[in-house]
Amino acid sequence: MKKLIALAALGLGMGALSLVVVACDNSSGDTPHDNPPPKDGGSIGQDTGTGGNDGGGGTDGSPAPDCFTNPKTHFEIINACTDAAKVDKKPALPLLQPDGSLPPLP
Amino acid sequence: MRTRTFVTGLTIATIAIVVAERAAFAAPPACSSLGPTVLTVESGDTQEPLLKSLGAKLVVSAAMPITLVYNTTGSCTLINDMTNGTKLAVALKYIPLPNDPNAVGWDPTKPSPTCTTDVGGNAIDVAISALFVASCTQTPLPAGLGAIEGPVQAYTWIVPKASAQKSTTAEEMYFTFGFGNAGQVTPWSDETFMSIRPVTKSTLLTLAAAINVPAAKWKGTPFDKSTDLLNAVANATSPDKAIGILGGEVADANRDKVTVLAYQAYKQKHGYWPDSTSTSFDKRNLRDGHYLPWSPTVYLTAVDAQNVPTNAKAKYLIDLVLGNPTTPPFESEGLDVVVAKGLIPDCAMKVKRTFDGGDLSLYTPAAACGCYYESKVPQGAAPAGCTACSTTTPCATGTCRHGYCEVQ
Repeated sequence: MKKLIALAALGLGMGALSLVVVACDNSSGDTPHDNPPPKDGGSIGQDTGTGGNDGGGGTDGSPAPDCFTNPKTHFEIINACTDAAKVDKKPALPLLQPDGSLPPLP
Repeated sequence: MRTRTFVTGLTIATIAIVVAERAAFAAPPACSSLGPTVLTVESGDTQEPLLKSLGAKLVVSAAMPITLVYNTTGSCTLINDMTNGTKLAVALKYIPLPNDPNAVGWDPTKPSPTCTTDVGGNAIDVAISALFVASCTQTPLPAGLGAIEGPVQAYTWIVPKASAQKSTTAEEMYFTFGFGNAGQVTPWSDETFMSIRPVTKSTLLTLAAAINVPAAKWKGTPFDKSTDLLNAVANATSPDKAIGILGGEVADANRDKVTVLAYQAYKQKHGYWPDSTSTSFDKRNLRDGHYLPWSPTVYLTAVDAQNVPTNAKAKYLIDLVLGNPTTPPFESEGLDVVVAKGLIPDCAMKVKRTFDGGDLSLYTPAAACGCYYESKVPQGAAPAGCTACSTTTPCATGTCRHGYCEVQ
């Protein structure tokens, strides 16, 4: 019995660990994350990143992916998975339109 | 009494000779007198450090001696000059030989000496813009004039070292520089602390394209010289209110004075520095598409039907900055100078665009040099997976190029 509980705990622990490993960075706030640079020379398409998805998210009701491991389009390239340091900033911009769009320039 | 008069007279004569000699040295030579090795260039001021360092090697080259004579101006101005065949009628700068009496002790850290143009001006052989031609004019280039994309130039948002700000977003910059005092952006809502460049300069035009604020609509104080803008931002009396724009190579060389902000572009989910961290120099985020404000330098020169420069000296210069093989071989690695001056060789890029602010697409250079590039940047080292090679130590896989086995 003890062996069974230990195995279950180990399994749960590994599952939680793998969730952390595959998750892309979802942090918010103006927080820099200085991660080590990728170790493969940084080539696109070989980015091991921290997991992520391969695009297409959201079209079938699933949430849009946070990053792309095999980017092809502009949107995917600028949001490709990377180990580079990143910053999430949510500035207060009082002049944004109610729908979040930008107003015309004065 | 007679002795004192003699000494005084001798002193005056000596001073007169020295003054006369200095006056003679101070008179700049005619640019055309510098010899058949002259290559006349008009360039954006962001490219002057490259011209000076590469020019210092070229002027003493036994393989291909070239004397760079140049003028610095805004990218749109030089594009206009080159397309219209305008001759340069202002005092030009030149790269002196080591024994040049007009530039004793000169090195690339010092201002270049000047030479005088011919009556009617001097024709431009090469014009170096730091942004796409289309950002300045929609008129096609005249027949016989080619545009060759050179190393990539990063553009940055900077704040004083004393500022607490570390990052920004495209939307934030839209309100800051598009609305100025009325933008209600904290802490950048005082136009007197916003430092920008004139509307002909690549720095402003490239960042204008990045945030969709037309160059003519930018709020802030324009500075003609990058160095003046740098000092204005670095020494701002209210550091947290101050913000400016600067070419990446100038910002990198002054990280002790200003902070480069991480930047989150429109539609991007996170903000990134041009480099993989705030303290590195590898331009990895720029090169792989995570940092978007950049533009290629563009070399405008007379070309043949295959877009090959017809001026042999112009071709040699362009081949050096592109990392192409040169004939005859140059005494040193041209790319070393390109990298040392903070530019990114095209061969180290993994994305490209076709106009300023345009979408990115994946790019595989014909002769990649990513391993070499990362080994040469400040604090740099070839990434894991890169293998050094030489003529005696060939590559097991890939191609030996600039000392490393490159995949492509």
